[in-house]
Amino acid sequence: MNNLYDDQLLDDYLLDRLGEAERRQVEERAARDADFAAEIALRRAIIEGTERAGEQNLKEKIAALDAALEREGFFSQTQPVSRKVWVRRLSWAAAVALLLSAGLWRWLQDRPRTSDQVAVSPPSHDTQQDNIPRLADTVLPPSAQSSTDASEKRFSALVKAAYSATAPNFSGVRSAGRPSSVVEQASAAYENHDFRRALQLLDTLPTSAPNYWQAAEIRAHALFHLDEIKRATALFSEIAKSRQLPFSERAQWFLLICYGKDYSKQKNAFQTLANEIMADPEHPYFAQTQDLAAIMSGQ
Amino acid sequence: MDTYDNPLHLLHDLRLEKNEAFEHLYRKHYRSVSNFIRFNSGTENDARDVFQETLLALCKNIRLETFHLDRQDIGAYLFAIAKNCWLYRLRSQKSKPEFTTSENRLSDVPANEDLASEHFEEAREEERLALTELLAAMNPACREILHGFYFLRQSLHQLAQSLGYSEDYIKLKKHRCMKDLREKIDHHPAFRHE
Repeated sequence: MNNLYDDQLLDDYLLDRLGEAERRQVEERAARDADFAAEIALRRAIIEGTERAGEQNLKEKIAALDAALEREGFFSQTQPVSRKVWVRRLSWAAAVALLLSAGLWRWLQDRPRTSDQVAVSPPSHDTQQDNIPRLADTVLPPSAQSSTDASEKRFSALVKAAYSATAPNFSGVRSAGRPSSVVEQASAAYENHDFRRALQLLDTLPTSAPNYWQAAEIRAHALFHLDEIKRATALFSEIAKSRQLPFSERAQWFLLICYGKDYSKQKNAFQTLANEIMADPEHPYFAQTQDLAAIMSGQ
Repeated sequence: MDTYDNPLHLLHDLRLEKNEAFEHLYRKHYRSVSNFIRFNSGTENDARDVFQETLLALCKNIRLETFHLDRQDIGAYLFAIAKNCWLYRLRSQKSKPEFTTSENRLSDVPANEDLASEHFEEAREEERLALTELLAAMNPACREILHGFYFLRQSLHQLAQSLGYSEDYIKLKKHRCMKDLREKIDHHPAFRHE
């Protein structure tokens, strides 16, 4: 029985290199032939033995390298906190501050145009703000006058700014020339702001497709642009749970933005996810999450 | 230019467990793993342990036929393993049960079925140790071939190339090594069952 053919067949079986049909054949033969089954068991034991010995060797090799690096003083050159993280934090804080100022400036610009207040508030009253009636008191419908609605608007503007600042660009998905694959065509449609077309193209892509997560990401963003936040949230959540880097980490950030869009209802989910991202200083959206979480919670 | 700028080259050398490849990972990625662990209530020693564990896990994963790097870079992949490894350790530390002396004494008294399974486990352990000894006592060429083929998951063709022989020779040599090992196992007392 120990001929070369069996050698290869058994190795392929034990190293999981056989197709489904061949694997079943080996198993059926082992069920009929006790010698064949014993040979499989023995080989399995030998393979496990070589694996244990291999693991042990590797462990010793890495431990020896660690010791050599220690002798070299490699581990004593520790830095308190990665400088890169702080630089990133500061640049993001600056970007968010800039966006907020721009938003505030636009809001102030828009205010007189949206109300009759222009006529009743002479410019000379600018220095007596307390005497001027609040915009919400006079213009906004009663349902929108509560502080909750004001917060909602503020949160919505914030997450919109955060999304714009980090919005993905899918032009890299396309190769040069005419788009060929479905995902390439969808990314081209997305880049042309034809979000419905992008969704249509990707609707039938099977989960087993090699670029499924790339496609899922495009779909989620298309849904977000079409304001189908519930579906976008579900899809970003699925990508985030997939642990397929870098898609999952990116999806965590955009999932956070989706939660932020409906902050009053999704406050707990927002905070849990923000904490999860902030537990990892190397998360690509660590600084952005810190900033957004601080702003949303009113710090 | 760093020879490991090409991730395929780095993966190739990691598969062959080359020291230079491990050292490259230490120099390039250890700091971020260490920062993460110290940021999350760990120490420098924890970071060193976790990094070693991470390299072991990375090697195990890249030996799998199904492993492919896709578009993610190896640094991100390494960091994800280290992160999971540390978070798992933190969770295990939190949920570790504390036994009292009386509980220990109670669990020290084994039931009959426990004795039978203990005996079986002892026999299995004896076999494992014997096999480790037999493998260690094989001639170096056989050890290298079996290690390359079964542990590093190299093909006969790759082994032939790295050892400088023909593929047919390696095939035959491996067959003889296995036959020799099988004979030694047959005559070893640890493998004689009633």
